[in-house]
Amino acid sequence: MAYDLEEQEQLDEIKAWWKRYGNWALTAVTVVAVSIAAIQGWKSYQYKQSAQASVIFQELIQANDQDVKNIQTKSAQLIENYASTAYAGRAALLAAKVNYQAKDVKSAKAQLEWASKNAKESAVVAMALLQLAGIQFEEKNYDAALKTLDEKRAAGFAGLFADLKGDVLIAQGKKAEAKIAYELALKTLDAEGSYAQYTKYKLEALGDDA
Amino acid sequence: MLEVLRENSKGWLAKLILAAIIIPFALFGIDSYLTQSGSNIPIATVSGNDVSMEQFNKALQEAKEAVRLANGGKVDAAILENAKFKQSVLDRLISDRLLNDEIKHKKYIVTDEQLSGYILSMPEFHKDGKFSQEVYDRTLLQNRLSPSQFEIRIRNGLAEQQVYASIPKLAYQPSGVTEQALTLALQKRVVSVAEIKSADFLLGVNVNQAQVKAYYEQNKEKFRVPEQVKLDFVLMSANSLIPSAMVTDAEVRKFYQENSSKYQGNEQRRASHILIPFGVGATAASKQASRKKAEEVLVLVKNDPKNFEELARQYSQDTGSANKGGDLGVIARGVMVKPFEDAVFAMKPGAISELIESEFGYHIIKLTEIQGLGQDYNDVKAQIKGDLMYQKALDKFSEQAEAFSNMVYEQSASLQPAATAFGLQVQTSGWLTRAEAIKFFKSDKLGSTLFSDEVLKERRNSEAVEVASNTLAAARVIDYKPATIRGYDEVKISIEDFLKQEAAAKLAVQKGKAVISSLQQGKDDLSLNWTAPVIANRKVAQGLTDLVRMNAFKAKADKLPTFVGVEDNNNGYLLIRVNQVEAKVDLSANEAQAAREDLQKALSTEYESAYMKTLKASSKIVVHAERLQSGIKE
Repeated sequence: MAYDLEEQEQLDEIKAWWKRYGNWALTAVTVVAVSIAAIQGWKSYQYKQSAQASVIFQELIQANDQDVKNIQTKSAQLIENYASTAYAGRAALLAAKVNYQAKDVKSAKAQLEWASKNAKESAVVAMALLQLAGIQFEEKNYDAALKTLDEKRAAGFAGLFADLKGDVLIAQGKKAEAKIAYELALKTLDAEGSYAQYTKYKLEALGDDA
Repeated sequence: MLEVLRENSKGWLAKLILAAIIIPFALFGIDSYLTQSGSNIPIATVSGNDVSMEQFNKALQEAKEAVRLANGGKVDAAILENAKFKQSVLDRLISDRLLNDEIKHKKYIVTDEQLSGYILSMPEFHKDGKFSQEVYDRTLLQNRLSPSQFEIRIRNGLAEQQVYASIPKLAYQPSGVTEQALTLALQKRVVSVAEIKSADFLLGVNVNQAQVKAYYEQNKEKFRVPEQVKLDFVLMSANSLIPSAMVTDAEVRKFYQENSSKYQGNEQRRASHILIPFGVGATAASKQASRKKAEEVLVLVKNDPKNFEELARQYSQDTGSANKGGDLGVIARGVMVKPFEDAVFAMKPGAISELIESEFGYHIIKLTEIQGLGQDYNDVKAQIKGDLMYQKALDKFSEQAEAFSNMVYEQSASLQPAATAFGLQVQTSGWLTRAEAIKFFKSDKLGSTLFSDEVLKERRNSEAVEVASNTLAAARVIDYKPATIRGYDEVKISIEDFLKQEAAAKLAVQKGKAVISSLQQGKDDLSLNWTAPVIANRKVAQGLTDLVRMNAFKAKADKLPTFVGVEDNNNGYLLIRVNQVEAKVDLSANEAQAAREDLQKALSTEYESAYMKTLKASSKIVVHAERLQSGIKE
């Protein structure tokens, strides 16, 4: 193959460019290739984790509430081995529920605390905080309950939080503040649901002079 | 460097570049062009993804069908057309989208094993207690679904179960929290009521003409009568075409035969028998001996048919079935020898046969069960005929619907030509307001069309509107009354009554308030007529009205009895006496258990709605509400 002068010049330019930037270009290409591979690998790892967790979770939600041992084992598996999946947070809530019902309040609180910090869904974090505050209220640890209820959480749960806050405030004898909390709850609870009815009762019980 | 490309313009490099341009187009291009076109305008957008008008209309149709089905076909069409219903359908579509997005983002996964395990366990696809590929394929075909479409649906359903249906499982409150709500919900109060009636003050009130006149002048809008129309209308429906649909017996028979699998069923029978064999190559004498033996057994069986199983164990020489009490299991046609089969399929359940001779010997048969019973032609003839007539009427209706609509539109000065052409009757309505017209035709659309300029002012026929499924209606205005305000003389008496009532109520309230304060000071008022006290709680009314109950439970109860008063519209003033409050509730009683379940249900629903609200808050949702009404073509 014969080149004319112009072509020869272009060819030289390309060679010079390669000499100067070649290594850099190769490195860049390699870095890109490796990162793509890494991302793909990470994704497929995540998928595998979720898929395995899904199988356990499915069994967990089909388990009978009375089958405490089974629920504890399965949720422990999810929390320990699949903490990066959304399933783990929900498993912690389920475990807390059966533990609470089996009078193991200490474990229940630990699981709710774990979920409130580690759950991948903001709604599940909110549920964990709400239930934790409920237990603190029951233990008459009112300040801790109020603190838990003031944590940052998903706006969708504002109604249930305000409702429980009202309960705590009444227990502390702060009727006027409780009234404000219940009124806020009635504004944010599902207007068509029947839970708001109970909040209405509580508000009514405060009477007009609070 | 460009030279290289040019040199290779017909070579591999150019092809590679071309491919790089084309492939994304092939994958994304055409589809995204299509979604932009006319009928696919979005009614809502969820996190950048459109919910198209078409998807909405489809969901709306399905929702309407579901409501009709749930109500046995009897539903007020106006309910299905109102904005609230449409809004609820749209809300559900949006929720579905949000859940789907959440499933993807949070990596909720349904594995292939879970999917196939679930499908294999669905009883819909079972035959004889096992998954049947044949049933699966047939069911999908009937529902016009490909396996991959169906699997996607099931997969989504399972993922939704994990992410959404599991929420109620997560919902609970420590008992310390529920206690307070339950105590209030179950609290009982002993309540009685006395009434101070407006009616008792009526005689003492005077209303003069000047007051009546003044009220009329100030409230003229209240006496407005809306515009009204009188209509001619024509209805064309598939039902009206049924009498003229001709179906011959030959057609019925053909349908029966073509659908024989549906009608003839897959009949199987279960039978037991006692066999007295005569062996291969039996002589007439040995046969005779067997027969004699068999007849003896038959007598035993007939004397004590309930003991068939025991007798089979004792006498049957079919060793396979004898120790099972003669049971042969389920028998389909074509399995047993002919004489045996004929006998079994001619018997009634529980019956015992005479001696049946087959090549094996003499059988005494008991029919124990019939499965998958078929239907005889004569049994289903009338039903098939009816179905076919309706089908023909439907076909005819869809054939004629367009011609009818066109004729109504083209010959817009009268409904008579269309009525004559299609053998229908022109009917005439009474005076109807717009709201009444909508109710009359059960159609928002037709009701509103009637008051449009074209129909009302130009006196043209309305378009033909589908007011119910397979029913078209067209109407024209034959007379019109504009909106008016009723004359003073027409309404003065009712105004006077109203004003008297109002004044009397005022007096009653005045009196009531005075009575309440004296009651609270402990002064009894003997003129009051108290109802007998009832024990009510917030759920059990015990005959108290909602107004009374609400106020009875709101009443401050630190000193008993306590009294509260409340205005009862223009009827007067209600005095409520709370004698007793039972605040202590036995939380272990049955009643409390039921209340606890109610509370748990309420909490679960609240969790679900809070969860959905959370998803909504974290996504960008745009709703084109204006398209909700206008964009739907029936």
